[in-house]
Amino acid sequence: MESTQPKVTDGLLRALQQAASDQHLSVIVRYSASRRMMRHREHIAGVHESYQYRLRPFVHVRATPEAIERLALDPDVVRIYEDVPVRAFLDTALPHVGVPLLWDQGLTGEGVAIAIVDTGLDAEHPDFAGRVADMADFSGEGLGDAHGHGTHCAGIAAGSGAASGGRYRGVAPKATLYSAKVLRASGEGMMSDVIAGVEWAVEKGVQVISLSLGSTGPSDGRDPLSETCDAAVERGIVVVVAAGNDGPAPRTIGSPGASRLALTIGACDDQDRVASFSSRGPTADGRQKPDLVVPGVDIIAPRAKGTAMGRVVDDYYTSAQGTSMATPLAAGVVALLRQAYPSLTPQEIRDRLLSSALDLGDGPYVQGYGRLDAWRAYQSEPSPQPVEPPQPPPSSGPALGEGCLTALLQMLFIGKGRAR
Amino acid sequence: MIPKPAHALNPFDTGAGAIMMCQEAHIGKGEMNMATLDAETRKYWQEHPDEVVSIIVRFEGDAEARTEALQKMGVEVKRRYRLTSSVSGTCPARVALKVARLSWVKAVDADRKLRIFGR
Repeated sequence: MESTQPKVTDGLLRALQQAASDQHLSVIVRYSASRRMMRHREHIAGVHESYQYRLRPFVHVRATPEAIERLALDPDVVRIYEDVPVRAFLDTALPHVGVPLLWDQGLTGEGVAIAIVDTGLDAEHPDFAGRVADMADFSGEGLGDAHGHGTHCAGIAAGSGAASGGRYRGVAPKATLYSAKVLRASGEGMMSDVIAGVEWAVEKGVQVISLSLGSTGPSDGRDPLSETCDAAVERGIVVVVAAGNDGPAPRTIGSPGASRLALTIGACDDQDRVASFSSRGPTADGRQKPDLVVPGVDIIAPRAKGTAMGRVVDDYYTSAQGTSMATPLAAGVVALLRQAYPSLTPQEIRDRLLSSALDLGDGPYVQGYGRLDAWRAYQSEPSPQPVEPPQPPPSSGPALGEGCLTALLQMLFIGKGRAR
Repeated sequence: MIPKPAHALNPFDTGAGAIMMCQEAHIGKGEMNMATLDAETRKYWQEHPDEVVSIIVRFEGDAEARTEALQKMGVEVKRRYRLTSSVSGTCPARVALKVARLSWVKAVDADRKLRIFGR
C-alpha cells in the first residue's frame, strides 16, 4: 500500500482507511496523457466504471479499497481522487436572491457605510482593501479578529472578492466598512459591550448595522440590546440581526432577534429550504419573528488570517453556516437599496423587503414573510423608475445546491460519455 | 439549593441557559417604582446579596445626575449609553436590588453573555 499512496489523495486515503473491504467508493482516476482506453474492468475485480471524460484522461469509477490499491499500481494511473460533494456557496447564494441583477443596475454599495458588530475584522484581507473606515474594540482584547467570524460576516456583506478573482464577492463590494469588535476570540461577549458597539456605529453615521450574534431565546424584545437596536432604527439606521441557531424548536429567538424594529433574519439554503437550525418564533410576547429567511448554509467568504473558523477553503476563504451568515447578506442588500433610494426610511426599506419576499410556504414563525428577493425589493413600490427585469443569466450547469465533483466534471468536460 | 442564574456572576463564567424574560413590575410595599427586573435574577440576588453582579440600568431623567446617584450607591459604572438612557457596571447584588427600587429606574437587567450564530 505504501508504494501506491503518492497517487492517492489525502482525502481518499482517509476514506480508504475507514471503508469496509466490500464498500464501493466513488473515485476519479487520472491517467497519463497517453492512456486513452479504460481497460481495468476486464482485469480488476471490484472496479465499476461510470463515466469516461474526453477532454482530459479522467475516469469516474466505483471501486473497493483493494481494487483502488491495484488501480494505483497501474503505471498509467497518475492520481486517484475522492469524489467529493460540491455545495452551494456565496457565489451561488447571491444570484439565488437576485443580487447580481442589482449589480447590473450599477449598485455596489458605494457611498453607503455598513457596521459589522462582531468579533472584529482582519483589515489586511485583500477583499477589504481601502474600504475600512474605522475600527473600535469594546471586547478588551484589542483590534483584529482572532476568531474569524466578524471577518467572514464583513466579507459576505461587503467583500470585494479580490483574493478570489471576484468569485467570492460580497453583496455590496464597494460599501464602506466599520468594525466594532464586541466579542472575544471565543466568539462570546457581553451584552453591555455589544450595546457600546452599536452606539459607536450610530455615532459614526453608518446607514446599516449588522449583528450576527445574540442570546438564547426567547426574548420579548424589551431587553437593553433590543431596545438599543430599536433606538438606532429610530435614528434612521437599518439594523439587521440574526434570528439565532436554536431551531427547529419554537420560541427560540433571543436578543436582539426579538427587537421590534430591527430586521430579523433566519437562514435557508439555496434550494429555499429553511435551515433546521434557524431559530423560530414567535417572540416571548407572541410577535412574529423572524422577518425574512436568507441563504446561510455553506457560505464561502473571507477568512481572517490565522483563524480556522468553519471549513477552511484556502488561505483567504472559509466556509461557514448559520443565521450569522444570512444576516450580513441581508445587510448588504439593504446597503444596495440605500444606495439606490437614499431617501427611504428604515421602515420603508423594511416594507419593501417584506412585501417582496418569496413565500416558501412555511409558517410565519419559520420563514417570516419569506425568502429575501433583492430584485423584487429593488423594484417594488414606490419605485422611482420602473425597470424592465433583465433576462436571467444563462444556465451554466447543474442546479444550484449540492451535487458532486462528478457532475462538475461533466459540466466542465463537455465531451462526457458513458464508458461502456 | 437554587441553581445560580446563568448570567448572575462573573459574566464569562456562564452557561448557555435560557434567560427568563418574563419581566414583572416590581413594586414593593410602600414603594413607588415600576422598574422591571427578571424574577429569577431578583430571587437569586436576594439569596446572594454580597455577590458582585454585572448589571445594565435603564433610567429616566438627567443622565449625568442619575449616573452620579448610582455611583454614590455603590455601582461601579463601566459604560454610559446615550441611545437609551442607561449605564452598565458592577455592584453587590444587594445594591442592585436597591437600584431596582428607585423611582426613576425603568429596568435593571443582569448583563449577559451573547455569542455568534455561525459555525
